[in-house]
Amino acid sequence: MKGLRIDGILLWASREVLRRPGDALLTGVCLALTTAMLATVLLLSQAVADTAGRILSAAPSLIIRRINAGGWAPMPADEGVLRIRAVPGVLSVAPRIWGAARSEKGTVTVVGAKTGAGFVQREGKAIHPPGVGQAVVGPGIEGAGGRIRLFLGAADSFSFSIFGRLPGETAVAAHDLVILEPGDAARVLGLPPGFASDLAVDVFHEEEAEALAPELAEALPWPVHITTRAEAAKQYAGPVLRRGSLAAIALFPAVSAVLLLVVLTVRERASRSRTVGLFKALGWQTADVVLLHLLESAVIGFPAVLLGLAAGYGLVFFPGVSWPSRLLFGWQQAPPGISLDPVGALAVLVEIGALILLPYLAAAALPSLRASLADPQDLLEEGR
Amino acid sequence: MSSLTAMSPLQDRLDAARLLFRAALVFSLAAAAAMGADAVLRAGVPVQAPKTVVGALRLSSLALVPSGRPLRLPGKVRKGVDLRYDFRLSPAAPDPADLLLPKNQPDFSQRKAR
Repeated sequence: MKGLRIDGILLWASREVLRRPGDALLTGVCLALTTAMLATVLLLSQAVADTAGRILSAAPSLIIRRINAGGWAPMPADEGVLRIRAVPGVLSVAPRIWGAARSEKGTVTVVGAKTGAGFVQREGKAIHPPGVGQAVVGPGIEGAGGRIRLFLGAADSFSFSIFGRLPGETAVAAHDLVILEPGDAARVLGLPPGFASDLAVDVFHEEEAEALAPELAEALPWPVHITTRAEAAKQYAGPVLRRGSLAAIALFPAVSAVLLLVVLTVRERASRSRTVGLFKALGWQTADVVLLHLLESAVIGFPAVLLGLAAGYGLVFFPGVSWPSRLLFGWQQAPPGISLDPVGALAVLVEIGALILLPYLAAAALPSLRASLADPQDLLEEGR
Repeated sequence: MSSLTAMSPLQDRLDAARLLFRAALVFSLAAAAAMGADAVLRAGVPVQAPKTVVGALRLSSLALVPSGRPLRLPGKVRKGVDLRYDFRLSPAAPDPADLLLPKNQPDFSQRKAR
């Protein structure tokens, strides 16, 4: 019996929506757009920070960079490795040769990789590090005629044959990387033989990384700057949230739109007191009246909010999206198509859905509850 | 309430209402199911390949921003070090994303010439 009653009220609520199709359509569009804006910004902030943290969990525990008055300086690799290896708690230490360099199509990051075993598996096939005169490039690097030219300052230029290309799914880490044989990389970056850009250190216990930093600094005879993995991951949350806060300025109209919708819904439902009086006079219970108004709003609100959430989700998590790179991360040409990890997205979606739907449904339910508690005769006379 | 279902279909538009409700229900369920399935099935997949590269090359930064920007450097960059004066970088290297309006970018070539 109860099922039949709810079925009847559901149909009645749908029919009420059909009585005002224009209102319903506009309300739905407004809810969907507001939800899509909120979902896009909040999902993007969460996804970038989360994805960066997960990827960088494979990064070295600590990076030690030699500094001087002008900034960073090359570090004698062997001496640095020997001194750091002697510090208790250090698991491994390796010199890194890397830095920014100019190519014909913009700035790239040059990385020196040791020859030997393959370092990236793609569909079961290993991509091997390059030999002398060769380069493995990231998915965003376009070479001319299978070669890439890199410049040191204004005078020197080096040309390398493109030996391999990293797969597109590595774009978030390697979009503009040029991987060279370490000797080649050092020449391009202007590093003297035996020097490294910095040292990558792994420690036995990740929790000790921060505590070890002062000891590592003391072990070296030069001033150094030490960055932990946690600090490196945190950097990606900061700028995105900062730019997200700029986007939040654009969200004020969205929040205002929700408030406006709530106010309009309250007023519209309050104006239907005569109908409520009529229903009550015909024998409807208070619960029936409230349920009718709730379902009427739900028939509009749920699909609209889910449409907005799906739009925001697609904009952020569709594999290979490039608009965040172009709009938020400063890429001017050939932005990377990034694929963000949707872990944790469902919780954010539920929060946003609740943030939009609860005020909207409450705005529908409360005036009808108030009206249905009144005397039906008063309501009928009031509506005249 | 039984009178609700006893009305003539021609008068009460119940068929259209039923269709609207079913369409709303099906669309909502489909959208929720699609997002849920994607979030569950793809969880962790997008980070696998980049993580391999980061581990193999011992990278400490991601290519979310272009090369040469402070965010690509470990610990960003020391205060007082202006990357625009790094001879290895192209004039476009400073991060324009920090400036709200692209047209407000400073003229780097003029600054260098001073």
